[in-house]
Amino acid sequence: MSKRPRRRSREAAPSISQRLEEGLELPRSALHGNAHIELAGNQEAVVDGCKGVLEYDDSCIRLNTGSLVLRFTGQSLSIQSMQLNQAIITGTIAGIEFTT
Amino acid sequence: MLLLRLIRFIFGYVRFRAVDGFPERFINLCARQGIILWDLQRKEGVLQANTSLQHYQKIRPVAKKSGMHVRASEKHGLPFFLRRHRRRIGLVLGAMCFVGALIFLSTRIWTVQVSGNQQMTQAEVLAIFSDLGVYSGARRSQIDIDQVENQAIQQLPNLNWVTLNIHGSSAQIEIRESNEPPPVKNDPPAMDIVAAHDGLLLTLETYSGTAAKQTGDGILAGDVLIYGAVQNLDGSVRPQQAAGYAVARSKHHITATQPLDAEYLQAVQTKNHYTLLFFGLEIPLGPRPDTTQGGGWHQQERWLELRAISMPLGIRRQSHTEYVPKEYHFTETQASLLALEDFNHTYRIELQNTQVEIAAVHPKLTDTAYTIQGEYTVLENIGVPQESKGLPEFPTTEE
Repeated sequence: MSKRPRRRSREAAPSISQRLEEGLELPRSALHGNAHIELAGNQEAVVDGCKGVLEYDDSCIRLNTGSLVLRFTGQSLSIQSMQLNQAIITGTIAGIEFTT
Repeated sequence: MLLLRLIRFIFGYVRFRAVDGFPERFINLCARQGIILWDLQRKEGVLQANTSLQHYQKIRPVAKKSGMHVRASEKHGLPFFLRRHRRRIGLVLGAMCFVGALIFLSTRIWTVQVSGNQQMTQAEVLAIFSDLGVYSGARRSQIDIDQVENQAIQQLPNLNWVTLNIHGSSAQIEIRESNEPPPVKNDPPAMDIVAAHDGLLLTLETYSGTAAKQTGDGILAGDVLIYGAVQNLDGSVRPQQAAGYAVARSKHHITATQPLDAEYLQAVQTKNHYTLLFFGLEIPLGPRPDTTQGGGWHQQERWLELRAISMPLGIRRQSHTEYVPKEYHFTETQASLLALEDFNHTYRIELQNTQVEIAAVHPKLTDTAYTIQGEYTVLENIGVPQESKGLPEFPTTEE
């Protein structure tokens, strides 16, 4: 009787919502709950699914989106609007980092 | 965005400064409490943001929880404006009157325009429609367009089509007038050529008709020169339009007289009375002045126009001028000039298209007047057409 090959690297098993998204061909984050980010050039970023602000500075803004932490770096950064689940970042955005 | 700004202005918003404490926790607590912040800025440790007036009242406990000290730096919006000017009742009343007037006036007809009229004047059409209830100041809701159109067609029988359109506060009347059939042209009556003045006939050219005179005949005014008739070969006479050319030598007398003493009316005083016209109302601006002497009232109306459209706001000016009779004595020079002007005017009219052979002009000054008399012997085309008074009797030709 042949043995089942063991997985060499431990990969995270896909969750039920991810499997449903793939099976039903739904858009990503429809069920998974990821943040949705819209960029208008490097002047404005609209973040839906924002859970809170971790750091707020003129040159760096960090947002908690649940599974990820977004880090915006740049100049003259400001939060144009802040609501429960949405934040609008304006200014000159130099870079965006995703941290798990 | 404009709508958002307008809503924020109407409900009012506050720009505040928050120092010390934990700004990130403060922002997160605000978001969790449903306090909407916008235009957040952080500079030199100071967090500035805008929030609505309603949410600013809830911000204190959030600030206390996050250890921040919040203070309002700017206040914007209608609630603050009204509070600042709460003692200015006139401002509020004026604004209310303005809004009330706007609402009231929007229910009325402001302007009535007429188009398509060619034979009828605009005033005639407006007068008819004014009787039917379409006039400046009329209530829009009381105008039954179909009924007005039907009544207008009945009252104006020379109209083919009429329509009334009401756009907002403007009424537009379009009409199409009927074309009258051309008059039936009957055969023109027979015309003779007769002499306009007395004279001596020098030339007579007959183009059509039958000559009644010969060269060298003396003629009197009214004599037929060319008959508007032609005799046929069988002796019958048929009427015709006479045409021809008759040159005669005639005499003309021209007289111009200018009296030395004349009476005229001198204007003494002009009194004006003004009336404000507003939506059909006539509001007199002052008492009507008393008029003791003769003379009528002269009326003039002027209406406010915006972009060539007459507005229902105007002013009427009624003027009354009082005259007194005055006497004036002309000098000889003045009288001679006036008489000469009159003489030349008559000369130009009476002796146009003539050739003057002999002219004699005699000026004369008397105690009462200055007179210029002129005697002219001229050559002129003396014939003028006149309707025939009957067919002439031609002599029968014997073979």
